Amino acid sequence: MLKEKTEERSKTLEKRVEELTAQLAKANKELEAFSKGLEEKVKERTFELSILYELSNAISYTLDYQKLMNIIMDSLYKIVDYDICASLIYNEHSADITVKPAHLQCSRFAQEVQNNLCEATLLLTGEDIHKKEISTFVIPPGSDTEPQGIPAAPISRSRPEEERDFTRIRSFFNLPFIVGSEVFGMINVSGCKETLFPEERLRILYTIANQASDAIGRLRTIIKTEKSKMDSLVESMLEGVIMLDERGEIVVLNPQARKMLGFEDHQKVTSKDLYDKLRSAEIGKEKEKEKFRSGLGNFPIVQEMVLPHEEGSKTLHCEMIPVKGSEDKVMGISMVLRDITREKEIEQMKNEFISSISHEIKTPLAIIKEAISLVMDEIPGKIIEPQRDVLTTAQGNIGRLSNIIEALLDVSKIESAKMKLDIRLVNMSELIKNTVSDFKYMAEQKGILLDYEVSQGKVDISCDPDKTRQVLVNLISNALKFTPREGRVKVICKEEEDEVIVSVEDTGMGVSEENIPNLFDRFTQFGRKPGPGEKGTGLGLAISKGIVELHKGRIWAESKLNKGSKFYFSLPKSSSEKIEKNLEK
Amino acid sequence: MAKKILVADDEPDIVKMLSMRLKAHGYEVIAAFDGLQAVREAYKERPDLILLDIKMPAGDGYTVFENLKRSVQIRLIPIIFVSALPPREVEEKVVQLGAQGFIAKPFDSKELVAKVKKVLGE
Repeated sequence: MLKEKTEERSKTLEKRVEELTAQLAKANKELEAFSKGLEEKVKERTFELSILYELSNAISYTLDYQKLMNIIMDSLYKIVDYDICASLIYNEHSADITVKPAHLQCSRFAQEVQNNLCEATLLLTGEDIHKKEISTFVIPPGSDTEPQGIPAAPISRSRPEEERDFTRIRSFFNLPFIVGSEVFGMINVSGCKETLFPEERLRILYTIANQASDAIGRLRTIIKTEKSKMDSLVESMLEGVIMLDERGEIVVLNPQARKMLGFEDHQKVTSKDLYDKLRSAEIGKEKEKEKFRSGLGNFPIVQEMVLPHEEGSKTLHCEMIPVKGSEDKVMGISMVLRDITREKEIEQMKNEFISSISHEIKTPLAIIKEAISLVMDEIPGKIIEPQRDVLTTAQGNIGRLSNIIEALLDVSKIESAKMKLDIRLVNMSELIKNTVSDFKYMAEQKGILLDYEVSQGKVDISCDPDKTRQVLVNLISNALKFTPREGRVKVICKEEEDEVIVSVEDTGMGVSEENIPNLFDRFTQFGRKPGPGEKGTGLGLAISKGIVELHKGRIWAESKLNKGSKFYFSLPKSSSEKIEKNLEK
Repeated sequence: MAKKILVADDEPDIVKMLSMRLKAHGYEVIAAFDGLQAVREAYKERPDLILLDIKMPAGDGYTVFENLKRSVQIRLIPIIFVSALPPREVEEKVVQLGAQGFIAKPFDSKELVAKVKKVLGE
């Protein structure tokens, strides 16, 4: 009996132990599961936080809309396995849409998500986006922002190519961007899966949207203030300013630029209108258009263009420079226009004036010259020696006056680009030899040793022989003028690979260093000696410079005060082609 | 008999100077002060040489030249242009037209006389 009872008791106990063990195991299991869940949750929370951290870091430092949108969309992708994401940001007149498909197959939904965004905006705010000027930017799949050490997403991603059905969008989610109470945009996240947004993800989506709103709001404020600063600056400029973005669209077109290009004050100007206008200009044309688009080429491009205009044509000075963003990325091009029509007119008037006055002077000069020479030739009657002496002085000065007039005419011709070159194949050595021998007598009279050094054989070059000789004559006569007795003047001709360099060296009084840059200006005379002697026009070097530059050559000087000077000029070889082109202009 | 030279220039002083110079060399000088007068004198006097200015009232030098070259009797009279216009631009042009030469103002009287003599074959 007792035994039976004991057995029963132990059986019950055994059962109880079993039950307890089972319960314990269950509790253990539950605990394990709970802690595991907790761990998961912590992991997930850490991940979410790290994403928010990364996002807030990244968006604090960017001032580039597209880049900002790309960062936000990348962050979203780490949380939601979307197939296509799009954002819309709008203001009074325009709307920017950025679309980022996660896979290539989703690109075709771009229009659909855009429509979703516009509809949602219309419903939420009553704003009709389609009435605005919409610019769309598509970020191709795979162009992620650089990874920033974020832990791998705990979300298991299905291989989209294998499992997903890309026939239509089955779920989407719109989050508005709000600052204060103002809605200024929206982000759309869409997927081909039906359950893209689990409850627990919604919270962080909102957080991201809020962060993005703040960042965009801040960016907008910065841009707005900067823009209004810029606008008032650009509006008040006397120069015309045009800015184009990297797509070639007009960003800035200030009132002066409108006026210069002949657009009405409130006329809507598209980039096409602008290109058409620039294409109608006399210089520039197609080449420049390409440069606008590609944002490449040799900058800054500076040129003058002649635009047909209602009141006659307009001459504009135009300077183009690239607008560079971060990392030297070309974000567009800015053009600064200056209306130089009036300057050109005055310049032309001046040149015409010089040219006509010079001709007017020539006739009376001819009369005086002939009158004096008639008297000196004793045609009206005999003269005595002192009279002849006086008349010789008069005659010398008439010669000087003639030279000045010829020089003035040359200068006005060079300045009004009317000087024409008569290009021939010239043997430079021969030209130098002949010119130097013309000066031999003069040099001997002054007690100066004049010689030359030319390379053996022919140095053939395409140039205008008369004009080149004129340059040489100018340089040699200057050298002789400023070199004292017992001095030396040497002409050297050197043949380089692509040019011929001629130099005229003297042992004269020289020019101080600070005056060298001004040597080639008009009416500049340094070291002019007082008292009798030859006096120059102050135009010789200016004319020489004009002639050399017309040949696409260079002219320069080296000098030391009281030691002597060395003047160089170079003429490019095989330049005939270039010069012809220049002449066509 | 002295050779006749017609000097056509709207500037009387130029005509005066040239007459004096040419007379001193034994030529007979006829004066004209505009284009029309130059043509009339050329027909009337049949000179051996014409010194012709370009910028003149009542028919410039080119018009006078063309007019004279149209007449069978007059066309053989040699013509030298004398002008203050830039020689580079004018010289080639007048030679192409068929003139005997070009003298730029202000001229050198020795060169002028030499050219006159050469054209007259002296």
